[in-house]
Amino acid sequence: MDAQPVDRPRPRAYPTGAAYAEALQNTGLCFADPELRGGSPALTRLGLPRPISGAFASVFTVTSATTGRKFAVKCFTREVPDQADRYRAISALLSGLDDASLSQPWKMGFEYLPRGVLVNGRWYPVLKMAWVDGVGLTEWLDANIGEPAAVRTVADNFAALAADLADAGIAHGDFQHGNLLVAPDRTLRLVDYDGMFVPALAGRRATENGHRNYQSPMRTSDDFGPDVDRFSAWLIHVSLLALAAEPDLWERLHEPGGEYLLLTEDDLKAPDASARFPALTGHPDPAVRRLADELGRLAVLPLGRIPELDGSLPVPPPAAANGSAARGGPLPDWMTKHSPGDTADPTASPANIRAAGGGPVARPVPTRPTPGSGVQAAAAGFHGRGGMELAVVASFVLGLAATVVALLLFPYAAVATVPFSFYIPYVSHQSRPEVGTLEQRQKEVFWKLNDLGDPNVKLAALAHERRRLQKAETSRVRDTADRHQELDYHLSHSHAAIRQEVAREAYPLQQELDGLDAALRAAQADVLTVVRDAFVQQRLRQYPVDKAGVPGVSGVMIPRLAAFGIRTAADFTGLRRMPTTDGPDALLLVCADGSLAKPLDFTPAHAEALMRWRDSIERRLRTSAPTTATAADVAAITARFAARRTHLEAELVRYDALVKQRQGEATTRVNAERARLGDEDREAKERFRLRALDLDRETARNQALLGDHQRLTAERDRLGKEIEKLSFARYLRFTFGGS
Amino acid sequence: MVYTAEISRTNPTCFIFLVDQSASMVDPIGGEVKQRKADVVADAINRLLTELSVKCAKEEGVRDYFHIAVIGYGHTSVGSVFGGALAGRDLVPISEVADNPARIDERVKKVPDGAGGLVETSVTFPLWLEPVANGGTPMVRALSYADNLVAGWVEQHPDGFPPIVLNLTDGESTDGDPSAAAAALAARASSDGTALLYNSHVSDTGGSPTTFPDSDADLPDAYARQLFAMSSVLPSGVRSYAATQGYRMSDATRGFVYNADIVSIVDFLDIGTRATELR
Repeated sequence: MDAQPVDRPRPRAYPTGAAYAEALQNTGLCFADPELRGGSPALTRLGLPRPISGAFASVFTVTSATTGRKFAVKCFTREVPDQADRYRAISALLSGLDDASLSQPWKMGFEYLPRGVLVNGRWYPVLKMAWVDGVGLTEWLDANIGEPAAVRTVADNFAALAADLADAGIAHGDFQHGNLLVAPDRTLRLVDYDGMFVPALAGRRATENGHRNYQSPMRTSDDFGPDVDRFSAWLIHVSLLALAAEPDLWERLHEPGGEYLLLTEDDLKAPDASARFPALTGHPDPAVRRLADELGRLAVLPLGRIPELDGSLPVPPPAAANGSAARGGPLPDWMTKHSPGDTADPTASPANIRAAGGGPVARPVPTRPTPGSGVQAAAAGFHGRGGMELAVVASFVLGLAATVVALLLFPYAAVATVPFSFYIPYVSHQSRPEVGTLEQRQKEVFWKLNDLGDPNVKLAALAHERRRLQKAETSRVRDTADRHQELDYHLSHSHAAIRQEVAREAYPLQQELDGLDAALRAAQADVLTVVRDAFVQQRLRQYPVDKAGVPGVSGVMIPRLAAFGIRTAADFTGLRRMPTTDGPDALLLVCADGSLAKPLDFTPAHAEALMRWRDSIERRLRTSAPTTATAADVAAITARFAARRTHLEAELVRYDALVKQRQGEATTRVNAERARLGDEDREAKERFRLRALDLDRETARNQALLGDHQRLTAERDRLGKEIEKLSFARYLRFTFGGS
Repeated sequence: MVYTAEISRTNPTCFIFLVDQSASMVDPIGGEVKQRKADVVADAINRLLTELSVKCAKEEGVRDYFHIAVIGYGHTSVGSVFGGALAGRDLVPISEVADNPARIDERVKKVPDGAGGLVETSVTFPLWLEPVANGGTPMVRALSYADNLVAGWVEQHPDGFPPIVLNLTDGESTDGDPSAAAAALAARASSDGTALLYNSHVSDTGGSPTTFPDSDADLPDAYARQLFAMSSVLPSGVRSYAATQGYRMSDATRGFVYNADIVSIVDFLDIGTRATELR
């Protein structure tokens, strides 16, 4: 944009930020407002009033000496046309908005003080604003990006705030991270109303165009109405929703400290060449893709045709905190997230182990009735002596009697009958139902335990494998993010290199263009010289060198000169002496375009003779050249410059197009690589998800088996004790003693 | 494409001040107020650094939109004039500059009380540079020194706003014609444009103070004309902003002042984040 000389009087210059900071060293002197007078400004490390500077103002924090209240005092460093009027209108409208009717308490109280601050003997206005507690949106995101649900809440609150403004028929004018503060309860505070549109200001011009990284490429300074925020609102809302769905985008697309959310001015102006846009439009989540596509569509609409922010678009769900865990604590998120309403120790129950990626919850295998649990009822010991026991007793008695008789008759042989006496009770013991059942049970339990294995051992192995898997996935996700970042870095660097390279080529043209107006004025001021030069130049063309009659410049020399474009006296302008490697200096002709000519066998004598011939013609022509300039001459000069300007501008446009084209090519190359990375990433994520699901299921199954294992072990131990009780000795006591 | 790059933390630019500290700087400048040239220059640097610090101050502190070098040239050598914690360093992030002045000075100042009277009040301000005047004026070496810094900077910030070099001098180079060194420096470029070389001429020749002229016709001497010729044409964004602030601007206006205030040059810089040009 060319700044033409201005003849209007200089507007009153406002003090600089440093001048305000100096004035605020003495608040007893510089403020007239009773609440600010004598107040304490917040100080820098050097003990000087601490400013917060923007493009149009520096803001100081002042705590009132009288009321103890804290204020932000805005001191203006640039003139804003009809500032007082604007603030009056904005204040009037805002004070008419009932706080209860707003979605959240986003309104900030302020007072415009025309006699605000005294600097070097003059009063300047200030804006006295209530202090607002909150954190700027980008800082808040830095701290809270790991909580997708919180990000989503802020997105919703932002949409509600934008709706409040739309309902009131007003617009903020500079929706951006610095003007949106997040309170601890995640509601938003809107600050900085300098550029606000309210209906009473309709017909005036905007005082600012808003933050460059938040504007529709279509916004111009003529736009000042209820719709100036719409694009910014969409941009912020979509960015927040995308971040809630995929927190990794913050690391990938937002440079730390960057003055934007996910997309910058360049991305919005040239989505095709953008390094960042494709990360959204090519996002695996279809809802994020749709939002990004919608944003791209809105970026080319005139502001008036951009719809108000509403909830009509499908919205991606906030990420169920995924396995990347890059920002989490030492535990991966899936281990610490609770299912809703769950109050128990989250790590204790397998029901809380979510499959990574928000897949189905692995449920414990329902408890099956334990086989054989009925035996528990059986009391230990022998019950109900039957015929067998009587037979045993009888046989034992008989055997004993026989032994006694035999002892009397055959004292030695009798000894053999003793074991026989015990054989029958032994067989009988074995055939008791208690003993048979118990041993059968013991065998069953043994085999069941054998089949079941020890779930504790398996669970330990599973937990180990799960940790290993999670660790591998976390590092893979981090590597992927690094590779994306490398790509982004590489792309922005190659974009920069392309711009730099082309800019270097285009720079002389740009400089000529910048100087063209000055050159035109010089030419107009000296029209006569220009006209006379043109006259001479044109006439010189009527003197061909082959008619010069210069000795030696004839015959074969004529076509040799013509090969350098020298045919007439107009085709060369002077001589240049050049040293040669093997003889006396050469004398070269300087052609009309500045290049040098030395045909074969062209001697210094030839050159000098030709130059004398040309000079004599020029001298003659100068005497007959016009001595006055006409309006037509002036017009011709102007036209010539206009043509040159058109040419230069077209060339610069061509260079711009060249930059875009080459950057587009670089972007395409990187996008292909990105797509490949994305595919790899998706596959790896899916592999991880399936493997994690397997492990989680297996874990849950083993958790469920723990009960079985415990019961079976207990059963085995109990059966062991029972069988102990049913020993042969006890059977004998039972058989003979009845107990 | 030219001089529109965002100046931000992620995209900083650099500001290199060259300060003439030669013996001739003890002479007073022409005009009604007889100030020594060395005092004028030191005061300008201190105010420039203060303004830059304030301009970059945000909620959490001073953001590094700029890296700053202050290079003195005089009898001893050409090099950084930073002292204390910054001693010996060339380009220093503005946050560190802001926190580390050489000293804090306190002066009693008579100021208007707004009701037609005067009151005395004490004012505290940081100082980075004391006036020095000694030896020759090796301006060519100073420009070459700056050229090195600029070359390194554009190498590392190929897409950033181009470096700005501000030379404050009384104009009489003692180590040769500075034009070629100036031209070499001003030919360094990022993709956003070539480095900007501005000159602030403090002179005892007299003549009227001149701010951002577009021709050398009214300049009083050959030194002034030479410095004018060495100075870059102001970028169009700067010109249009300066025009709104009431400066006369044409497309040949250069970054040159003669015995006049140079500190407003800081205000012409649109840091951060605004859509600078009214599109």
